[in-house]
Amino acid sequence: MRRGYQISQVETAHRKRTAVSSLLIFIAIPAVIILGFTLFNDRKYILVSWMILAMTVAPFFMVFEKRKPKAREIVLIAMMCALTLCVQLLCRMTIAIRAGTAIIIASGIALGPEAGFLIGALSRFVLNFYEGQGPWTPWQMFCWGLLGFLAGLAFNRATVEKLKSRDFKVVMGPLLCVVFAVLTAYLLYLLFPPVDNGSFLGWRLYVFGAIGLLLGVLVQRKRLPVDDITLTVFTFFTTFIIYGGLMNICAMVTAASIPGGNEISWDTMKLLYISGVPYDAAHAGSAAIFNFIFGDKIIRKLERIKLKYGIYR
Amino acid sequence: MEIISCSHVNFAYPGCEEDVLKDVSFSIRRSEFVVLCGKSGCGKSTLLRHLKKNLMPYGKLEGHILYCGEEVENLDDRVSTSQIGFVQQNPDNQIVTDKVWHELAFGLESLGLESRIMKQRVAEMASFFGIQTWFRKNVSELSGGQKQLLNLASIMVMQPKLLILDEPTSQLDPIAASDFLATLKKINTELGTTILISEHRLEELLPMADRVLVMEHGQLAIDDGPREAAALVASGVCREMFYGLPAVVKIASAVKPEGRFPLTVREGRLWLEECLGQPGHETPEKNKRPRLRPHTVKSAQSTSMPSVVSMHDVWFRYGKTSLDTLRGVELAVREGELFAILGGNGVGKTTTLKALTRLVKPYRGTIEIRGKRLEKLSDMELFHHGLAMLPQNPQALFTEITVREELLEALSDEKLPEDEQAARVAEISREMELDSLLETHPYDLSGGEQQRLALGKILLRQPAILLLDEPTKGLDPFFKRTLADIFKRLCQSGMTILMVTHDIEFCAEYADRCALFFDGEIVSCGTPKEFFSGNSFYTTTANRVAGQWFPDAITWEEVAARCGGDIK
Amino acid sequence: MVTDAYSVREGLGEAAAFYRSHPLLNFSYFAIVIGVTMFAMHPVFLLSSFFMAWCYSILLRGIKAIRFNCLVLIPAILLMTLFNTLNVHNGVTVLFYLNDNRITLEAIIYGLASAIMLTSVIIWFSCFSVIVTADKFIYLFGRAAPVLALTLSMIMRYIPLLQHRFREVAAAQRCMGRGLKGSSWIKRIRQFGKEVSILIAWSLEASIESADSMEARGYGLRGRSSFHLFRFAGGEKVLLAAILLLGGAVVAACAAGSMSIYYYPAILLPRFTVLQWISLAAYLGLMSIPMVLDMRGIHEWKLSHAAM
Repeated sequence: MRRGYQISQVETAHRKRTAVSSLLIFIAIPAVIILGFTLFNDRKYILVSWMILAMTVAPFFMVFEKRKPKAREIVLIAMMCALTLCVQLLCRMTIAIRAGTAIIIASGIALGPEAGFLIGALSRFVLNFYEGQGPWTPWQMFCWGLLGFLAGLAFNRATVEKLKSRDFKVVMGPLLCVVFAVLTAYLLYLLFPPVDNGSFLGWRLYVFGAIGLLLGVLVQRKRLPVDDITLTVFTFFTTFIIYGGLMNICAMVTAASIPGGNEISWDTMKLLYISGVPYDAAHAGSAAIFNFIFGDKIIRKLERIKLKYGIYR
Repeated sequence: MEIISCSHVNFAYPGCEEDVLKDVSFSIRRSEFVVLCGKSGCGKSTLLRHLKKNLMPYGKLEGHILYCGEEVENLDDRVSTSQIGFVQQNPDNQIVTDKVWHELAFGLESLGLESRIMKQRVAEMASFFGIQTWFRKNVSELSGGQKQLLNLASIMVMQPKLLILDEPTSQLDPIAASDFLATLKKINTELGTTILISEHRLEELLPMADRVLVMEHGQLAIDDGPREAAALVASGVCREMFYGLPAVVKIASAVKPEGRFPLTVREGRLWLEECLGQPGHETPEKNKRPRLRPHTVKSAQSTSMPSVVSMHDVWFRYGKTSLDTLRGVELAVREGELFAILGGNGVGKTTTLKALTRLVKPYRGTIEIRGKRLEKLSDMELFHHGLAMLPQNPQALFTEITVREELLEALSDEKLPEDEQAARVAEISREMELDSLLETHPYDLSGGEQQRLALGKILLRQPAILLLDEPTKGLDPFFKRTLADIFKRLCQSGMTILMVTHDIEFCAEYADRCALFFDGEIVSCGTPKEFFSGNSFYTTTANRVAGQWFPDAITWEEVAARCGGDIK
Repeated sequence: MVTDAYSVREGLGEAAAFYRSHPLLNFSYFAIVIGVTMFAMHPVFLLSSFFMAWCYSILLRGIKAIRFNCLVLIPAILLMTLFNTLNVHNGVTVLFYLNDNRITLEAIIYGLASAIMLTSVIIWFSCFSVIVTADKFIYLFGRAAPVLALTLSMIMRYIPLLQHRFREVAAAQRCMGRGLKGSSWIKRIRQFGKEVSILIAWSLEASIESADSMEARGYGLRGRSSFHLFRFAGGEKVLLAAILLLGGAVVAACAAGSMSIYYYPAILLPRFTVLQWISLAAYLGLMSIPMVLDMRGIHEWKLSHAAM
């Protein structure tokens, strides 16, 4: 094959990334946390969180850099970033939906976790040149990147051909887990009313949702098929729980220049989570609707281009 | 010494029975200027791509392609990059970085040159191409012509020995195209770079070329000097190529098939003088020419035909403080005619179309569509069996994965029973000659086929008035004829067509009336005969050649007939 | 009087002298200033940073900065202070009791201080956005990560192209009678999605040609270098040295604890020694560098035009 995409190259890259990531996760990140908490007493949260984010994001970029991607791959990634960005900017002007998130998820599914992460993180970085850079930039980069990454991991690209065949059974597992976890949370909330009389629609939703999602992934051995229902459910839950949940932490950490002690930040967090629910729900909901209608179309288009380019085969 | 030599090259794409290239052999000497022409889909692009190592298509290749005596396939990457330059068709798609200076340096960056040397080379090249005034701009601020020039410069900066260009001017307007070709000539004569270019626009290229290669169905049919090649085509080799020849050659071939063919307007005039003698002193003056009627509206009123589209004293500007783009446009298009608006870039032609489709709103003046005020019409009334516009880029319409679904999509918001939808799609696909392509992906179609698909999609909306924005852009001369036939048929069935174009020759031959747009208004208007014979610069080549003898002959057929030639 | 060089309404924007400086200067300046702002919780340092950030943002962004700072940030400061006051009950100076909760002076002051710190950081970031454009990032990555820099540059190139194409797509759809206006929300999403999907298909197909053009120009050869137009001239070197020197002094002072302060349980303000006066001077000097450059620029411009 003259200009084919070498599979071994991707595999080596994957192995390298896993190695670098695990090194970082098990050694560097704890070290940073310990160091950070002893060195910069007051400002620790924001700085430590930046460093950790940088360390999670860096391996992807390093591997991308090191494996010298083909021109077609770079073009594809740059184009998807630009598309996400434009769509997001256009949405802001025309209709209030967050189609950018939806496109990140769709491209993660079509192009795999690596590219999904890069597209998510890069488009958020560039988007902030239009919407304003700030202490939140690394967080947003990480969140969008993570959405693309998870989408790439969770979905089975081999079934793209049978896009239309909806299989409720497959998505049922994770879905039930999340619903069940949230229900448990609600029952617990009713049975043991919390001392502070906080609303149910707060952190419990996110924490139990996340537990449910985790359980769901564990229950779900096979990768998810790409059909519109699964896609919608996936988009909604990941956007709501992961993006929403993480960005709330970001808001807290940034403002946790307000900490007086641990119990205080816990209060802050609870408050933030409660105030975040409607916003996150709108975000997740509109992204999910967009993916329900157009997710499979976008994925098909990407699949066709992949075939035409001859990459990722 | 031969810089390129191909011997017995056969090539087939994977999964295709038929060879795209069949036994192609030719060679190009150093510093030659070679033009490759042929109908779309004859294998030109495939052949050109075989000459550049990293663009070689996949497939089964036989025969040898040598660059300076070495197989192109085995060339060193660095040599192939720096010594063979390749410019493609679309100016926008080839640019990859955001700044002009970065784009210029792209190739040098790949070669890993030092910053100092890069700066020097970039400066040199920018000065040669006259880029220095827009050197620091964003590429998005450039015009199409500038973009293509930038693409050329960013390749020339690597100092290639061989420059290959695949229809580089097809997306440019005529003025930008001539500039581009003039720059190519300059590169060839002043730097001695070998040039191999494929083109449909032979009018200007033939006089520049040292040699012409003509391809037909994957075979090399003609390989000769420009005059000889023209003579061969005129004598019947590659009959289809005939319509792509310059008007001068066509006239000469019809009048005096033997003898030396003229290639330029100048040569054409001298040749005509030889045939017909000095033009008479009394004929050519303006008073003898048919006078143009000064006002469109009056001329429309003077006939009994009602005007379907009319604009009266329309003014528009984009920004509050910017200059007016439209300054009192007067326009009246009659039912069932093919009306063409001609004019240079940025004079307001496209804005006129936008005003008609309500994409922009004029601040003064009235527009009437079929006798009703535009602002009183609802979207439903205006676009449903009313106006329709074919965008400049057919891609702006494609969303589905097959041609059939694409056509059905046009009917998606009309509540029709399925069998009727299918019937209408079948009918339109027959009309547009797309029957055999119904299951193809729209993006796998050629440019001409895409144009037809877009047109088909628009026609399924059953418009009464069709607006066209540069419909002939990038099309080969053969397909232009097909398109013209389609337009004629539509007009006969009562549709009104209003088109905006740069293509003088097309208008002269096929339009019912033409109008010249200049500085925000229509300055002259009339049938092609009245219109072009009144102009001395802005007119067809045939008219420029023979205007002094026959001021009212505007197409090559007319001139040839007047000279007593016989038109096959 | 509004001079040619500067109008208060618009701000300097890209005409700022610092904008034209070498990216290294920009990055080191903002890294040090924002970093120190986050750590120096001493009220004097905090207020000086807050003040300088206001000045610079107004110089750069004109009336927009004033509007943003007043309408968004001042309420935010008040809110955050209130929040801290109501939630934190540490501190020894009890002002009064609210629902059996102690409201302390320390909590109010600490809340105010952290709010001011956070808003200063945000204002500094708004200046950062004006000065550091994407091409400076591209330059910065160019050495260490040329592929990433190229990708960024390509993204910046595609955005205007895609916006232009989208307008074309939307116009084509409108001419088929399918508009965004006046229909229900779900219909609008459908229509918007259709336009987006057309845009995606068109752009992806067109990008193949981009990839070919990159390969034709040797992308993928070993040893890619990176070209830029930034000059690191003598004056810039002096400036960089000044930024690093002043910055180093400030950071050292910060690390030595001369800018720290204890808010709980009682506010303990370290005494202002000579060392602290020096570090304050260095800090102010550092923060005013770009403003001094701009003033000089405006002055030079005026002089040269007055001479004509």
